[in-house]
Order: sequence, then C-alpha cells, then structure tokens
Amino acid sequence: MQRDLVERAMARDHEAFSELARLSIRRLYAVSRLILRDEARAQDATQEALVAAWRDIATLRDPDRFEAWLHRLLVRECYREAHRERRRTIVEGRVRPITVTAPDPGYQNALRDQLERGFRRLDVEQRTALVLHHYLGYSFPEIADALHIPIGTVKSRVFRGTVAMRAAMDADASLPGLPEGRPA
Amino acid sequence: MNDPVDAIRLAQTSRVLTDWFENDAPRQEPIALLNATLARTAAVRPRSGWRVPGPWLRMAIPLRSATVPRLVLSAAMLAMLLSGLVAAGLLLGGVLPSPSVLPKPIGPRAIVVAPDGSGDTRTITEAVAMAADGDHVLIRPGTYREAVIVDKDISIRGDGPRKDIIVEAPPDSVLPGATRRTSYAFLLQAIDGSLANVTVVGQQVGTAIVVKGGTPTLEQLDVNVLGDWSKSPRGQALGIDRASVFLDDEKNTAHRAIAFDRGSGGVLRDSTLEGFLWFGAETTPIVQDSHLLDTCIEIAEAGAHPVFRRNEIHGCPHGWGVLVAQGAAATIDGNDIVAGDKPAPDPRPGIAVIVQTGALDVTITGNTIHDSDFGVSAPYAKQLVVDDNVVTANNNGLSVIGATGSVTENRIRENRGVGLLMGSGGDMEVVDNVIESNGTGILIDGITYPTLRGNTICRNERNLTRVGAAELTLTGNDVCPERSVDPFSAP
Repeated sequence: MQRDLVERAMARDHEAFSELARLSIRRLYAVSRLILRDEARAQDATQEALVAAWRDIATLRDPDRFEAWLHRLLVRECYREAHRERRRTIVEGRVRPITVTAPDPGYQNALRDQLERGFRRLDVEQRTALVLHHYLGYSFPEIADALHIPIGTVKSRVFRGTVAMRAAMDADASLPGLPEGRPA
Repeated sequence: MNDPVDAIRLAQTSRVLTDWFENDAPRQEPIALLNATLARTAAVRPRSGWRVPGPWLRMAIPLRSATVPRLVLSAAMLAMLLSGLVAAGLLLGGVLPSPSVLPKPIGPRAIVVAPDGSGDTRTITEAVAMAADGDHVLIRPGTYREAVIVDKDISIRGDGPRKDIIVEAPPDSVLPGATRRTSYAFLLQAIDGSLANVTVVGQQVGTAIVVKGGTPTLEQLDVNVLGDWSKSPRGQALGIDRASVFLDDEKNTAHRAIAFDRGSGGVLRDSTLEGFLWFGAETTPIVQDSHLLDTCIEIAEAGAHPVFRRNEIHGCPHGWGVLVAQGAAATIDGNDIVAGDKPAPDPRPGIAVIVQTGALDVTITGNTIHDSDFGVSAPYAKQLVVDDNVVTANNNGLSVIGATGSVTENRIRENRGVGLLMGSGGDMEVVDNVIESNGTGILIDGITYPTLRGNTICRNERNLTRVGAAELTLTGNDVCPERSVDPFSAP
C-alpha cells in the first residue's frame, strides 16, 4: 500500500503524496516536538521536511525506504531549527502528565521537570538519537542508517545522552527514588 | 559499563525516557499543519529524478559505464504499452467516457484563481465556493477587491510574489451581523485551514482579516490598513493618568489589520502587519516571527490569552505597543518592543506594554523593551511575571504600582527617569535584577513592602527613593555607590 503511494508520488502524483503526508505527519510532528521541545519550531521542521520530501521525492532510490528517508529529512530540519535559535530557548514547562505508576503527583511533577531540564541540556544530536531509539524504537543500525552516521557514533550518543539524563535525575537529592525503586 | 548497579540505573533511565517520550508526544492529528503543508507542496514543482518509476518503461543505467542510457523493454512493458494504445483508440472512438465526465479524483484539489481568466476562476469568492474541505486555492498575481468569507477547512495561498498578490477590502463591505460599515477582505469563520503569501489591504474603517473561531494558520502575509491614523477614533480615546490608559467603551473597529474573535486560536507567523491587531474574548492564537510595525496590539476582552514570540513590535501612532485589558492575559516572550508615538498634538513616545488594572496572568519574558515613555506599565495587575527582559532607554522602565507577582532577572538600565516604580500596596518579589544607570533605580511610593533580594543596584543617580510611609532597607542586595559619587562614572 505504502509502496504504491510512494511510487505514485515519485511520478509527481500530488494526491498520493498528500496521502503519505497525512499518514506520517503525526509521527513526524511528534518526533520533532520531542527533539526540539518547542511547538512552533517543531511545526516548522515538520513542514520543511515534507516540502523537501515532495520536492526531492523523485531522487528516492528505493520506495521501501521512504520512511527512513523522510525521518532523515526531518532530522536535518530539526538540526537546522535547533541551530537557528535566535535569542533563547523558550522554557514553557508544558508537559503532559505521566500516567504510569503515579501514586505521588508531586513526585511525577518533579521527575518531569528534571527530565525536561536535563533533556534540554543535551545537544540536539544526542536528543535526536534518544528520541529515535526510545520513541520510534529504532535499533542502533537503523538509526545509523537513517542519519548516515557510523553505528559507533549512534551508540556513543545514546549512551552519553542516557548517562546525562540519569545525572539530571539524580541532581536533586530531594527527589525520591525511581518508580521501580532505586538500587541500594 | 562494568558496574552492574550502573547498568541497572541506566536501564531504568531508558525505561523512564521511553515512558516520558510516550506521554509527552503530541497525540492529536496536526490538521492545520497538514493543510498548510499540502498547500505549500501544491505550489512546489518537484525536481525531476534520475529515473522514471513504474514497470512500463525503465532506464537501465549500467553502474560502471554510465555514458549511454539503455532502454529496456520487457514483454510485460510491451503488453502494457499496447493496452494503453488500444485504450486510447477506444477513447478517441467514443467508446470510453471522455475525461470531462470521468469521476473527479478523490483527495484535495487545487483551484487556481487568476484575474486574466487563465485559471479556474477569476475571483477568490468563486474559488472558495467551488472548494471542499481540504482543497487548495491558489491565487495568481493581481489585485482583487473582494470581501471573502471562508467557512471551509481549505488553504488559500498566493502563487507568486506576495507583493503582486493584493486582496483589498471593498470600502462598502459590511461584516455579516454588523450594523455599521465594517469593511473586510477576509472573514475566516471557524475554520482550521490556512491563508498565506498574500498582501491584504484594509480600509480605514473596518478590519482587513477577521478570524471568528477555529484555529487557522496565517503566514507570510503583508497586512496593512489604508488611511490616516490621526483620524481614527481610537486616537481620541487614549489618555494617560497614573500610568493607566483609559479607552472608550465603544467597541470600534477602526484601523484593524487582523481581529481574532469568538474563541479563535491558530497561528499568525512570518508576516508583516500595520494596523490594530485585536483579540476578543477567549482567543488564544500564537503570533510569532512577525514584523508588527505601526501596529497596536490590543488584547481587549476577558479570557483572551494570546502568545507573542520573537516578533518585532513597533507600536502604532496611538501610543502603545501591546495593551492587555481587564480580564485578559498574555504571554509576551522574546520580542523586541517599542511603543509608537502618541498622536499629534502630543507626539511623545507612548507605553511599550500596558497591562491594565484587572488583567490577569500576564507573563513578559525575554523581551527587549526600549525607547518608550514607559517600558512596562502594569498597575494593579495580578499574577504578573516580568522575567529576563532588557528594559532600556525609556523615560521610565517598569511601573508595577499595586501589582502582585514577580520581577526577576531583568536588566533595567539607562532609563532616564525611574528604573522600577512600585507602590500603593501590591506584593511584588523583586529578585536578581540588575538596575543600573537610571535616573532613580527604584522608587517606592506609599505603604509597600516588596521583597527585594539579590538585586544589583548600581550607578543610578539615586539608587532608592521612598515616598510616603514605606520603610525598606536594601540588605541582601548588591548596592554600589550612586552615580553622583561614583568614582567610576564619567565626569
């Protein structure tokens, strides 16, 4: 189904491309929102990625790799947006409640704040690697393939990002242990 | 990763991250974004690729010798080619229906508007009437004098240089339901579509673009209003007393570039405006990355809470940049703000940001506010947050008389009169600001006991002036000598 749409889009069928965009835009927007932590920039990145996809879709060599190619375009636009920041990062603190194992809302709020602050301190490459790995469920080879970087670099980014997030969560001594219980 | 405890902790972190991402990711379909994107792609011509897809004809290019492309026709391709030729023959013979009676393609259509008749229609109104939800209206260069009502989720986009695509409000148009002359060019009624890349011209009485409900995306627009500002009734209604502004009660509509009304949301971005930008009750749009020049932003009605990000706001000739009225709220973040001059015969600079008595929940962060009579005037505002701004080169910096909230981490410097004015009750936390090189650093008028902590108060002509019964010391702040005795100041 998707391959058929991609092939039609490659033949400049805008209807087919519209359907592909409709199928993928929620996921694209979610990924860019998670990476950039800013609604407006995420919208810009998503739109630019899709416009680039339409403009360059005829250069796609393998229709089955459309999704990975689209994610590569999106990441490129996210990098661009992240580096385009003009004045300051907007800290809005608008985070949806975590619904899992939340006996103590105060704890969850504190944890979300810690995560938000820690994640914003990562560079955009590390944020991207973590989002692709933990949100999209990409394996290391898949991330390497999507981003055109060596697997070792992917592993390093994910590892360093995770360590930094762990450190951010541990930074506040008043924060209770993790939901599963912190090891002794 | 040799330590098993570390390994467990990192595994836990991974699980926390996965849960956090899953819960933090937006779940709604971004319909407006999709429509806006498809409108853009509809106007973009894809680049030609290195091959033609499909099974019927394929360029086989040898990897090692790419000098001469070779055509390869398989039996299947020949069969498909022949069947195509047969079908074409039947079509010519009238056996198959002609394309004009074939069912319309499913999915969004592009309807082209061109004044010379080269498109599908000559007017935008006709194109909107033809369109269905999801369709795209592309406007070719020309001048259109129309009052267009858009009540469908469609995208309308200029197809060409923006300056050459002009939609002007007819002077005699009247908004549906209005009882007097209220000209308009576009009325967007409860839609989730988009309007982009056009120049919209409004009349002196009326509104260029009216948004009523919905969440449209407005981008890459030039919006301006014809006529002489000094003749606008709004000019006669402005007065300043104790740093408050009183407007007439009449809900007049003069010189409005864009009005967001009736609970509308949406986005206005990457645009240039001249004229009032007006927000009615319960409106929550985002205005970002735009040039609002000669623009008075009026957040006029209760429950409105627009967001302004990264705009250049140079106020209109009625004497302010942003006005938040009673019962309204706003988030003003990362903008460059200067008030316009007040109208003749009093052409002094006005107030950059006015937060009127009874305004709630106004957040002013990360802005540069300068070259105005007052940078921020927020008398008796509630839950006011003024954080991380640069307030400079004004006659007076911040006035928060009677307000509650916080003033934190601002740089308030080189204002000719007072840097920070407080008094008449109020409950402000003033923390970690740099207040320097002003006429008077802090002026406290009346019985007020603000929290002053961690501020740097330096090189003002007077660091602190108390009027009335306020008893206050500056313990806990970094206070330098006043400028008159500062050995480091200029002679």
